[in-house]
Amino acid sequence: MTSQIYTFSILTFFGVWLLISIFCQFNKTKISTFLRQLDLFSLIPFWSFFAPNPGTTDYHLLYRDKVNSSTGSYWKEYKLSSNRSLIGALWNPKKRTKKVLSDAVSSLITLSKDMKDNEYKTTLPYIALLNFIASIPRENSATATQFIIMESYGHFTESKPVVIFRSEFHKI
Amino acid sequence: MEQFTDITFVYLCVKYVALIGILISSLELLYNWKTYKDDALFSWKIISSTKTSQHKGIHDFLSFFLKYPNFLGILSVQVIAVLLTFILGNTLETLLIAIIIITTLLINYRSIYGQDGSDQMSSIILVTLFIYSIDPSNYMIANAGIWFICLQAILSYFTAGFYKAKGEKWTTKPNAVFLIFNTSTYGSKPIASVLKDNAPMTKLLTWSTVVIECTFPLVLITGYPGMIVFLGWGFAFHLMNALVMGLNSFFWAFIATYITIIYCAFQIAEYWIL
Repeated sequence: MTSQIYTFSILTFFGVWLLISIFCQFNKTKISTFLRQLDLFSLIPFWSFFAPNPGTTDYHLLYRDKVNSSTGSYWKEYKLSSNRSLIGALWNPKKRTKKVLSDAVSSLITLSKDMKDNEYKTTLPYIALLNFIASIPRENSATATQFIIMESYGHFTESKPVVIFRSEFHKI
Repeated sequence: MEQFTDITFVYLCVKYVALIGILISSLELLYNWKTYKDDALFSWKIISSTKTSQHKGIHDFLSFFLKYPNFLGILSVQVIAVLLTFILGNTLETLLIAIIIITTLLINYRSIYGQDGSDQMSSIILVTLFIYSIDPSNYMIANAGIWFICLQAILSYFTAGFYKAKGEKWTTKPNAVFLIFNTSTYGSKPIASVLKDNAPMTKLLTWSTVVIECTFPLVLITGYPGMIVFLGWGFAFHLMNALVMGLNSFFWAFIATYITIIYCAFQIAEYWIL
């Protein structure tokens, strides 16, 4: 009897998990939002790889510093994309950092469109990007830093990259 | 192919293929150890500031494990547990997989950004392996576990196809494949240069991705060798993603699910083949 209850419980567990997974793929309802809020450990998947609108542009993260009260230095880019190699198909530790930065940049762009001036400064992507920029080793004794996000349109394009986000200078 | 009807063999294959991917992922996370410091990209102080208002009790408890440098210990424990699972085989399997699951959930909780479908599929596989390892002789649970992984994999392809079919760049103006390859983030300049001047090929590749993903559930009823069309496409797709896009962990997590798809397709074939 105990064995039967155990078997039934496990089968129910698989069934419920699968049903929640299916439900949360296709319905953005109050229930699915609530379920995702409960999902602290990312157990409800979302399988929309490159869909419906695939990423067709590249983001670029650039920063510049101020030393004391000088005007800002020239812009330096921290590359969000990396060169591919055959080894990268097996061992690709840089993808984690690049993915986090890309996700944070995309998230900041989305948030900044919906928020009033300065509201975005307390958001996670803004603080995370600023913290990351500030942590990059520097040769000079920079006192403040600023970053911008640019968008470019691929290898083969006639469109020029454009600035889509600019932070203020922040003390470091 | 008869081996794929043997439930023990299927679980063994799924376990080892998935664990290779999990080992690579956890070693990659450990390799980036400096980024978990408080003044770096994955600073727990910053990440936790967004979580403190929700689920405070759980958060405070987990914070101990997730702050720097304790988190490096969690990653190290996961690497050791995966290696021991390889070395010891079935000995202590349930305990070791439980440790891998706990460490995986902690990693998931800490990662607001940077997670992908392979992490979610790995969690699904690990939980199923854990349940199976408690009582491998319980055929109903073992069988249901394989079906669970298989249906999650099929759901993943169908969902991706469903949303692609709603996207203009995939259907009405089918050039998504060129546009993706044209980026530096996930693309390849040599491949983009070939596709740039070859609109029919771009159209074919774009549409075939949508069609195969939308029809992927048919893999269960096309029998053998019909299933090879879907699984062969999927294998090539994930291999290309690993080689061109650097998405190495997807390959292991999803190839592990193919073993369960073959098992389930053979089980259905006993009743009906298209």
